[in-house]
Amino acid sequence: MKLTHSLGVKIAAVFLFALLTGMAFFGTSLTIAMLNDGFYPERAEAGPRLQNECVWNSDAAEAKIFPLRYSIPLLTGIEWLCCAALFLFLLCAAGHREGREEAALNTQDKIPLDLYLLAAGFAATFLYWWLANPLVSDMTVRRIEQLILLSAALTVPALIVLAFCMTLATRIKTGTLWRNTVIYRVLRLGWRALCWMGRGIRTLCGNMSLIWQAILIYSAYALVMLLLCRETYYSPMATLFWMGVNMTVLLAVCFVTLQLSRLREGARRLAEGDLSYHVPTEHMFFELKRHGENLNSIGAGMTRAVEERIKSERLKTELITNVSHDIKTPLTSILNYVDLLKKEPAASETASEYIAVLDRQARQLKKLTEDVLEASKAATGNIKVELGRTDAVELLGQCLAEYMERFQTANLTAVMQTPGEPAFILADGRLLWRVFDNLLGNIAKYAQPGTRVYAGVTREGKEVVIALKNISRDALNISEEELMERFVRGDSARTSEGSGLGLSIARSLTELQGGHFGISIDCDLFKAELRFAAVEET
Amino acid sequence: MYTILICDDDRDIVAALKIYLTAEGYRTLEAYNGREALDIISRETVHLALLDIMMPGLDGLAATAALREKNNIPVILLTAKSEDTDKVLGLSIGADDYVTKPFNPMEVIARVRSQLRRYTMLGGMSGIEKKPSVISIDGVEIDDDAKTVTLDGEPVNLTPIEYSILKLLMENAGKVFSSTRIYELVWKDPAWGAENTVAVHIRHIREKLEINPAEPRYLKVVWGQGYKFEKGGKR
Repeated sequence: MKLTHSLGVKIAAVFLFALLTGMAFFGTSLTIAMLNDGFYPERAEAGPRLQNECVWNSDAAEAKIFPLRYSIPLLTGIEWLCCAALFLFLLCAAGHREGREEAALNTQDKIPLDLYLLAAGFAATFLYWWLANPLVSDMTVRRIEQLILLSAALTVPALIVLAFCMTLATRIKTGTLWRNTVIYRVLRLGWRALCWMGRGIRTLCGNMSLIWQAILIYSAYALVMLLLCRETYYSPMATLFWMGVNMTVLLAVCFVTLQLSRLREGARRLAEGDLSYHVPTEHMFFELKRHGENLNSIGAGMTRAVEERIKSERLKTELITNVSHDIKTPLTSILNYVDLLKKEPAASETASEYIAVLDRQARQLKKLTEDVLEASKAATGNIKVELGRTDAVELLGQCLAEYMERFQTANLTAVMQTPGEPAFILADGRLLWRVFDNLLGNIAKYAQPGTRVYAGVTREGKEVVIALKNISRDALNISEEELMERFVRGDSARTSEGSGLGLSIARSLTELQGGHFGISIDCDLFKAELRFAAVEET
Repeated sequence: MYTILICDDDRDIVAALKIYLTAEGYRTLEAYNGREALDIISRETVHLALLDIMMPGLDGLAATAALREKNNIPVILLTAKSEDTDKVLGLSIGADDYVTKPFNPMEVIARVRSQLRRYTMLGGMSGIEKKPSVISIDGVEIDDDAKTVTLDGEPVNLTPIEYSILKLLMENAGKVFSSTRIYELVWKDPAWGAENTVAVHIRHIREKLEINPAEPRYLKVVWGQGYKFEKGGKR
């Protein structure tokens, strides 16, 4: 327990301080009186004495005091030292309380400092004056009782000064010295008002057209110049000339500003993506005209670039579509003739093995062609999307039913977790089926046999989340982003069937319907998540 | 013996189809563009035409349109395009079915058989008064007295649950039923997490009823809403 934190010690210290101060004042006044009475240096026992100096009530009292003439100043000095020590202690203790480490403010510390100083000064002066005035006014009579009263009167202001110093110390400790003053508040209010005015002016200027700004600024400038130029006070001719010159300059400024505002408008439209905007450069001059023409050519260049980009995108999609259509026809023949070959009885064992390879690869090629076409269409948004109110729970059940047999073959158990009530979303059921077709197809291909596949629908706030979770057969040492890229497969050796387009297609199709598609990999746990905004039941 | 016209600009495909169809006991005629196909149809008795869409000269769509002006034989389109819009266009122009390349020969044969059966049967049965207990939609017939189902005249074996589901959907052909609703109506029990059960049963019916269960003609999946029996659709 620290002494500085104890309230009792502090109160005791204050009392002690008051007592000691009073005594010290008394000792001091006594010493002064003794000094005036010529106690020092050693005066004769019965020396002459000033008549009006009658501090001492009687000679007997004087005689009693006289032997103490050295010990009284000494005692007074010690008292003053003690006072100083107590004062310092109280300053240290100021603001501290029991059970708290930091200094804290109390009620008196919350009064604004300058107000406090004023009040304290006034109170001290008034109290001293009120208490000491009757004594001081009667200067002729000096009695020892009066000295005691005077000391007591001085103690009151001393206590006020102590209180002030303590609150000052507390404020310094808590760092609120400046902030809690009326002056600071007034200044801050003023600064805020200034800032507010500045903002107001700026908004006003921002909303004013460029031309008005220019006129205003130039007029202000001209007015200041007019006031500064004292010549014009005396000569009307000079005034006229001056006004003429300024009007011409103002006109020129207006003209240039007009051009500038046109350029600015053009640049703004370009920045907003309106590439067809044409800056009118007919009445422009010099550099401004050149700048306007440059802006126009930027617009033209960008339009061309965007058009070329769109065209190339379209060409790419068209190319992929045409190529896959063209591949499909020969592929039909390949598949059919491989099928016919399989049925030929004359084939040797090796031959039928080769035919099986041909068959597998031809089917792979078929799948790849279909996937490439779908991925290209989905990525470019070249698919008709018919959004409708769709029940995610029903859809997931339908999709799982379609995959029931394949899951059984792959020794997987599907577990459906649904909220037990329909969860409606705005989606195209047909496209969503294709999303799940890809995802469930992946699961059937890549999941560890003998594990469970979890398919769940949950509502998260205003969203419906459809999640598919499964355990991967092979270790997935690949990041989520990479896995969603086109033509990337979980097994880098690419030994398994599949085009590597499934996730990419699923993502594109989900996003086309305004949903959000995400996958996450946690060691062997693969999780695909679709998020759609929930539609309330009508 | 039925005569089938195969028309594709790719000779290998025509040859392959010829082998398959001949093996099934059909007589085949070959054409390599739309004009030739129309010529042959005007000269000979053809029972069904397989037409490729993308052909030089007269393409498959134009040939179908020209053919429909005076002939109602079944037309199956072969197409490399898999977009739904192309399918719709083909069917609306008058084709009865379509197969997308690269096709499975078995599927083509199944579709040919189905179309021929329907073509010949519809002609034969048009005059016969039907029993009130019989619902017949596009070749699928369900007889509630005998509890039998036939597809283009051939019996289909369904379990009692499958039969009840099919009956419910056929009685309300064109209407979409959610899995829960089907469960409630067929099992007559409240559905608690029964979505999968119904879906699996429907999948089984599709396997028995459809030539290609992945692209059903009758029992359609309305994704995210339920199931329905397609009414009036040629596929």
